[in-house]
Amino acid sequence: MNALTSRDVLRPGKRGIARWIEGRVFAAMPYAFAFFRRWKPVVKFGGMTLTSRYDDVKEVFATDPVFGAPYKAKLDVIMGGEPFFLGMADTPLYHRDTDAMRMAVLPGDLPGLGQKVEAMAEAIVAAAPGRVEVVDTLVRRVTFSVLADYFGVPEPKGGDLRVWGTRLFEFQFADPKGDPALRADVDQIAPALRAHIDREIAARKVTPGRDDVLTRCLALQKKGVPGFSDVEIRTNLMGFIVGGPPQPPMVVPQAMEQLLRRPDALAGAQAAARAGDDDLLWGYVQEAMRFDPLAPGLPRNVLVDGVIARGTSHQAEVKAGDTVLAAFASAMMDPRRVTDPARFDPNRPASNYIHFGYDLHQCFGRHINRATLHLMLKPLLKRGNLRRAPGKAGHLVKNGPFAEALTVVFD
Amino acid sequence: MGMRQTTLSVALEVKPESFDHLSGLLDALRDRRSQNPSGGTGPFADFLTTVPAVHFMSLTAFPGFDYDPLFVIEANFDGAPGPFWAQLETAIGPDLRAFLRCCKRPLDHTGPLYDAVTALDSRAPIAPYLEARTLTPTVYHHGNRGMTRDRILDEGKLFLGTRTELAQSNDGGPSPYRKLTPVEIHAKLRAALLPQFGWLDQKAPARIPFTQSVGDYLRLAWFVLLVVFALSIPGLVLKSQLSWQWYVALCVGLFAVFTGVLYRMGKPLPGTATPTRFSFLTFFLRHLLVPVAIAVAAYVAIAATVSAPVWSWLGHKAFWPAWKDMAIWAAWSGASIAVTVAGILVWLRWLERRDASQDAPPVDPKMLREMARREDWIPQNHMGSVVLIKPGVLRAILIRVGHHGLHLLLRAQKAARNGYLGSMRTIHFAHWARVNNDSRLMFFSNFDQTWESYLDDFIEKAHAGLTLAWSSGVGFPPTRFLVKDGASHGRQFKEWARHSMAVSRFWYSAYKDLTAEQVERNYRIACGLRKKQLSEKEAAAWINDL
Amino acid sequence: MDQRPVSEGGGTPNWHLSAPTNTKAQGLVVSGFANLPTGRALFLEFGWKGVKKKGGGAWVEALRKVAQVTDADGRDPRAVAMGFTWSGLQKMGLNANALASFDRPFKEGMFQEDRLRRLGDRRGEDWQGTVIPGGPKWSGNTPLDDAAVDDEARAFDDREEIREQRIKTPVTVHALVLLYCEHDEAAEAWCEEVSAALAPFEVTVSHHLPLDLRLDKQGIAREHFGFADGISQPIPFEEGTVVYKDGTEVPKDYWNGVPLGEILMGHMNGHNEIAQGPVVADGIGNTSGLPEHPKGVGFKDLGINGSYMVVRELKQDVYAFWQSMRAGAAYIRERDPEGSAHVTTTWLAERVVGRDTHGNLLCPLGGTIPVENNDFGFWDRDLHGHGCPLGSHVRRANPRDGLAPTPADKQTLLDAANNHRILRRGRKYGKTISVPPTPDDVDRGLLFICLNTDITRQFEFVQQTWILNPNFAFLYDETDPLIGPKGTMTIPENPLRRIIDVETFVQMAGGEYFFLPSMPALDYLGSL
Repeated sequence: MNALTSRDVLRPGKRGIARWIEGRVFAAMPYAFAFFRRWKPVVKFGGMTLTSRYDDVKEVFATDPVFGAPYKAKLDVIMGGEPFFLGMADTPLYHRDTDAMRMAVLPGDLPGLGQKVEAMAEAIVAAAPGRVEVVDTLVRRVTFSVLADYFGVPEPKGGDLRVWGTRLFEFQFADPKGDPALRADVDQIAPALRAHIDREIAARKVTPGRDDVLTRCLALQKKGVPGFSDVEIRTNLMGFIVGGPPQPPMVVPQAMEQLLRRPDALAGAQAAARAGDDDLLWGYVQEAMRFDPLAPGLPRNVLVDGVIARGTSHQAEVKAGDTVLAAFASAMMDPRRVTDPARFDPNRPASNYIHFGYDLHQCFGRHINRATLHLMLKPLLKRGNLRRAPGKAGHLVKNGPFAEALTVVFD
Repeated sequence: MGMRQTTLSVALEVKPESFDHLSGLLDALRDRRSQNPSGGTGPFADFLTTVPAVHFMSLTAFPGFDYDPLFVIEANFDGAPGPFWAQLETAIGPDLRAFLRCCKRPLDHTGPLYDAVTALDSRAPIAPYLEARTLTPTVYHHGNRGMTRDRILDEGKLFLGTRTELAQSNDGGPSPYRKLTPVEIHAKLRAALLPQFGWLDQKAPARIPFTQSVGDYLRLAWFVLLVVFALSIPGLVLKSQLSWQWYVALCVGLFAVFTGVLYRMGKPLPGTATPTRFSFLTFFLRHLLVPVAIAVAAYVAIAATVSAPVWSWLGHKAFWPAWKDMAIWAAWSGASIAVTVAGILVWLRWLERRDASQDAPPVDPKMLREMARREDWIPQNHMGSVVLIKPGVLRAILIRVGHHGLHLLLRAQKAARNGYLGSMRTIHFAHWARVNNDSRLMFFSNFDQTWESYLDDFIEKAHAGLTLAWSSGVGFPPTRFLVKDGASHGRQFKEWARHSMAVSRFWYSAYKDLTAEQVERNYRIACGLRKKQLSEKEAAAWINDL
Repeated sequence: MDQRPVSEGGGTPNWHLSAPTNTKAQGLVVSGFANLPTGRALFLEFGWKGVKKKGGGAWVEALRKVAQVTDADGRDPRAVAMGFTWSGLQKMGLNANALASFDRPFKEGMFQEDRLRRLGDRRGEDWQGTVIPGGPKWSGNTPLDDAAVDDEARAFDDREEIREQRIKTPVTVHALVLLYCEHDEAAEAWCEEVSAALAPFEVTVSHHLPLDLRLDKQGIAREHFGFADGISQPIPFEEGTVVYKDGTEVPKDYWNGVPLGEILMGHMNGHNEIAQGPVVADGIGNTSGLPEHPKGVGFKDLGINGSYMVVRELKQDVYAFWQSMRAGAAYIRERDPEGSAHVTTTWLAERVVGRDTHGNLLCPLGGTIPVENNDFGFWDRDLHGHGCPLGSHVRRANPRDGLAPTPADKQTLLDAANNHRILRRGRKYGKTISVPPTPDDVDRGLLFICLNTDITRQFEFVQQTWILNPNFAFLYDETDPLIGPKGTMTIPENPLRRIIDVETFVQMAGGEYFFLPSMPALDYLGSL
């Protein structure tokens, strides 16, 4: 099967007993984290060091000179060797590139993005016959349509941006063991996506498009602002497509699943949705995500010998070359810093959340997420008698780290 | 769920060379709060959402006279310290790190943690260091105990809601409320406010959960028993060595001698007497006689029960005869408590008569002006003070036992649980703690009205309690038996207090226009409105608060 | 707010000072000179530049030749009182150490930045609504002191200097002379005589106010709003010093008694201390008439039997007051047409004051306590303020035992309140307004004068903690409805309180703290 023309967003997952075990492992993780937080906050498994406490996770994220982001090698494959800021250390180039992108991705766009997301989600829910699948039908469609449109990257001829983006995302972030089959897909998709965006850039130079990120980049290029060569524009747009839209279809259905597990929280979120209190609704979605975030943790490469939690009773040395897993899912459940972490509370202070990482490589898209994620669910939450679909379909199915399907019904 | 409030402070010695710099940093943080000194708008107003646990917080740099300067973080907040520190670090982490860099490296085991937090370019979390350096208050007092910050804010909004509804219902015409009875007014007001304040339909969380109350009473009872036991030790020893005739003779003799001495020594030294309606005898008869009798009886019973098995084993006796022996022994020693107390009072009075008080504590006019510049912008004010503790064994014991007893009493006594100190309810959060290796006593208070009126309240309304808590401070106005005179020397006491104070450079209040009394008033209104219906009697009382 | 003629010999007989204190203290301490209905307040400014090294007090002696300052030993056909501001004493050449020995509020002046905020006159850069537009006309213009800016050089000091604002008024007042006599013509002539006597010494009258009791037909002195004035004063006591006319000792009055030290320096005060006053080193000038200071060896007591005199010129807008009362009463009737038959403009005005126009205290159920009777507390009679509203002017000015949380605390709270009493000696100025009031441009108001020894604990406390306290007596967000800024007022009533809007009626036009010297201290100052 050709990766370029595939319509399967997710590769086939594990089956049978293997899938069951995978599910149990994910389900047991919170208990393991609680154990480690209490008895061994910094624990080594072979070359991997797990940090599970709030303080240590934040320290790892904040101390980027010691704990480097491990993304460069794979990014080079995706970007064809061109540097993207996610793979950089705290260098001038990093700041030039992120600052440059902040000239094209503007805070003023957020309300408009929110409206578009809400309108499209509303249309999908309205068209559904009292039953909708949340992962693909709702969230993935909304996310990719609105964001690709916003970035200015159209659907490739014969291909599907959802497949391309998600496959590259998996390769970049969710492929610790290096699956050769996946690599083979990537070797087809990455050059194709680069070529696709190059063609779009070239076309836009001839016929200028609407006001989107690409148009703004080209305008800045014309003005001679550094950081906006054709290749740099392409690299950044690729980065956005790969790093951005594949994520909401993971976390938003997971949040929905968490709400479905808590009737009170669901009722509260629905009330907020109906009352149009978007800030409170965000509080509900963000809090639901705390119980099942994007991933258990993010890896970091130890660049120089260092110490985690220096001066405390659990201080631990790490050696250059080690990998540290900063378990932010565990950190957000650390009762040392998060009041009553098992309680669902939509009014928690910002400091309780580390969904988007922390400090240098804090998610570039966090503002877009803040403006859109909750609105993807809002039209659904407004519906009366919202509940799980009968049978297995009504429970979130995961395929590895990816949400695969969750069907809900409503009146 | 009633949530516990935490009061704590972190006291850190400051590098003397960095003291002025630190003061400047604190001022800068305060200025960043907003251009308007009374707070409100400005980049710092979001403190309310980023640090939602906090009620009151202050950052103070005490100049050094007897020791190096002291930097103190004083915080009063909902829930446990850990989450609070995380919130605070999120709000002002880099500032905190800069403050800590001005402090000395501690010589104890927290030194490495200090290094980690303050190293050049350090990104280590600050909270673990602050946790490691946190002091436990010896005494604290909460004026609105059990009221979480959010509840205070919510009920404040409800109060304003009642005002708006009563003022604007049928605006321009007759008010529909005026023709109603209190019961009807309650029902109509509740119906009008319910859509806006949905929580009125929920049951009010208990301010002091039952388990907490039980803990408060048990701790106090346990403390009293221990004190009774400690005071009875001389009696226990003597009775085991003497026949009862000799024992009685000795006790009566000593008691007569002690009281005779006390009668002579109890009179104030010339020029230090202040008229007071307080009399030990009336106080003892009215408030102490029954509790003391109960405590001694309980002590006898418990002591006998605990020691009887041992005695029955050692003396080869049955349990009940052994119990009886032990009870008699404990009862004899209980009778000696009066003698022991009289002896301690003689010792205390002997010390008091030799105490050096400071008639005119020096007050730096510049410091005073810096305080004045920051005071009286809102109806609340703040003070922080540090004094040296008087030397000697008895003082060392008294300040520990006295403060602990006072602390437990404030948690258990009905008036104090309702926020009153004496006849005043003007304190939101106040606490005492020992610093500098227990050689100095620190006091912080977040109170209503002006500093002058607060101190006058102490002088005029709560001088006995205050004298008790503060008379262990060096230079305090002359006292008698720990509670008399002392703070009644008005100006001398005020100057002494001012002298010990530092400028409250950074101070934050989460509800700056609500006095402790107003918080209680809002609470009473909210409690009434939560009920679907009031009886006529309830409504008549409730309506006075509207 | 003078002692009212009607109350003289009324409820409690007048107190006097016994010899020799009666010849040491100024007459103003014991009397408001109610027998002398006319008066003048002359605000003096010294014309010379800088500080006089010698002869700075000569004008005082010249003044006393034409207007001898009255002492406290009995009635005189005409009376004089005088006080000095800190800047005045400084210019007269009083020794710097002696100047430093005064109480802080006096040294800093009423217009010190932070003090103005506490007194409700100014916040930051802005004069408040309770001050005449454009800011007050006069003050002592006390110079900034050393504490105003911390510009001392220190190693390791990198802080920014904070410089205090100096708040100045167009007119500077260095001393205040109060003249009291029987007729207006005599007063006018006397003023000219005084001005002429002072002219050679470069002392000019920079501002003056005609003071008046202006008794009505019933012999009641009313302030401009129309209310009987000068009711409820503290009654000092001190063994051997405070006596009745017949020489018998004045006992401690249960309701209104205050130790003499609350009013006169050098005597025991309510906080069990000798009220502090200024001192001067023996031999600096002619100190022979001054007694030894009890604690400072080698110092003379400049303060004993003197006092601090707080003066504020309060302009009253009588038309606005009644207009606002009318609007408030109309609002109550509009909101409650059936239950407001009793609500009239006067009814409302009486609630604002707390007494009826004759001075009788309002009580629940429509009764009053007659003006002669000053022996009452609020707790037993009117706990919730259904008669005399909780926030009314008289309750704020002296809450008595009304703030006690429980009956057991009544005594404590009454005693506490009596530690914050002031002896009022003010008089009104300006023409009485027409009946009914119509807007006019006449400058009228009250020259508020009070005596106390601890300005912070007495006058400032009353102003800040009672009068202008937005949370006084468990109220919320309202201040004194009569003399405070525009805002609301709660009138407790069954079943439901009423809340009305009130405007600003009283505006401060000038003010300062003065030292009211004893007679020997005046001699000393004259000898400078």
